[in-house]
Amino acid sequence: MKTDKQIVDAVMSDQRKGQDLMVGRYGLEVFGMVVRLVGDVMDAEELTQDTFLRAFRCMDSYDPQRASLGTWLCRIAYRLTLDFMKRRRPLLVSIEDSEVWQTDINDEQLEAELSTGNEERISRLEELIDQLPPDERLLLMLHYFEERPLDECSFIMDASPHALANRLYRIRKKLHKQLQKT
Amino acid sequence: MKTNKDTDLREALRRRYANTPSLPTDFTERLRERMDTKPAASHRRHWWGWMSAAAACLLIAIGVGVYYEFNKAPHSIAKLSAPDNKTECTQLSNRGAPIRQSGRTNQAIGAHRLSNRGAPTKPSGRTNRAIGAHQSSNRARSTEISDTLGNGIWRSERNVAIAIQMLSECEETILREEQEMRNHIIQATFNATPQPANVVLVTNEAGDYEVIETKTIIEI
Repeated sequence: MKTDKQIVDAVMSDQRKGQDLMVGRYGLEVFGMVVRLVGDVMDAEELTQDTFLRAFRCMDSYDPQRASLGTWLCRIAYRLTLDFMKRRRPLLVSIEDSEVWQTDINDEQLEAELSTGNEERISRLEELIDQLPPDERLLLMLHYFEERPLDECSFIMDASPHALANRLYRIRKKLHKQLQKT
Repeated sequence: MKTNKDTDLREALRRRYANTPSLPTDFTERLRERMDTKPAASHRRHWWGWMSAAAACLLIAIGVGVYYEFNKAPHSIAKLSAPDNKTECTQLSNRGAPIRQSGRTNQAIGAHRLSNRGAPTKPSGRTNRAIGAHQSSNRARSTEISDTLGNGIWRSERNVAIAIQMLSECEETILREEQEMRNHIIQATFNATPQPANVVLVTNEAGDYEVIETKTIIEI
């Protein structure tokens, strides 16, 4: 199994072979993230191709000290996907922020509320996740579904880990508020 | 990272995203096709986009510059020449004596023509306009100075102020000299010719000599 550095070197020296190697290793990871965000396979494929094209063009700017190659590709894909979604339609906002902050609930209570195991609540949560704006959906996906640490999420989404932790708390509060309504 | 946290949310996400479609089989081939065609085209479009934006900005800047150039100068002149114009009007309205047109006026100030020509009791049309309508006089004067010195004169307010002051002084000097000459001739003629006893030489309000005939004195 080749390391990130070997793949990067292969791309830099023997372009075609290195590119194939990189697509084979990270294609599915990037495509998976994009298709979950945009929801359409054709758009996701196009965006994944854009991601790799840009990565091949800017291979010099990749710094292995900052993040793994996969994370770097996800960062490019995230930016392209957000741009694409902004062009396609305005971002969805399910709940007003003011409403969210009025909810007085601490982290432990929130955790308990979102860990009941109730089948109905889980189904409702599935629907609510679809209504979230793409950046919030991606954060949940990266952190809770792909189990990525906040440091990695912060690199992909170009935000500080502290800001992302706050955002996660806010999203959970938002979901909890919506669950209470139903 | 705690994995037992927010289990409902995790489960909902797992159900929602577990069945992710796999990467299309011909993905690499299509990517290869795009790599062969896309970069040049996208680069060209990018370059032209910036060029057209720069050209548009340049055109707007030139347009704004031209607009200000044509609108700024007359506005500042109107403001600047207002006090001078008052002085000029006063001078013109005080001229009651007959003054003949002097060739020196034109020599001194080129194409600028003074407005006080004609009989003493009937000022010329231009004099009336100067007294009555300050704005139109301003414009006329500005145009005359522009014609003589070129449009560049309006670019400096100081130049304009100096030009207007010089014109006023020239005009004043010429009028004074003409009056003195005329009075001298009248006085010499009066002294040289025999006059009836009831005829005297007097100075009118404007400072000009006049020969008048006195009435018979009624003796009480």
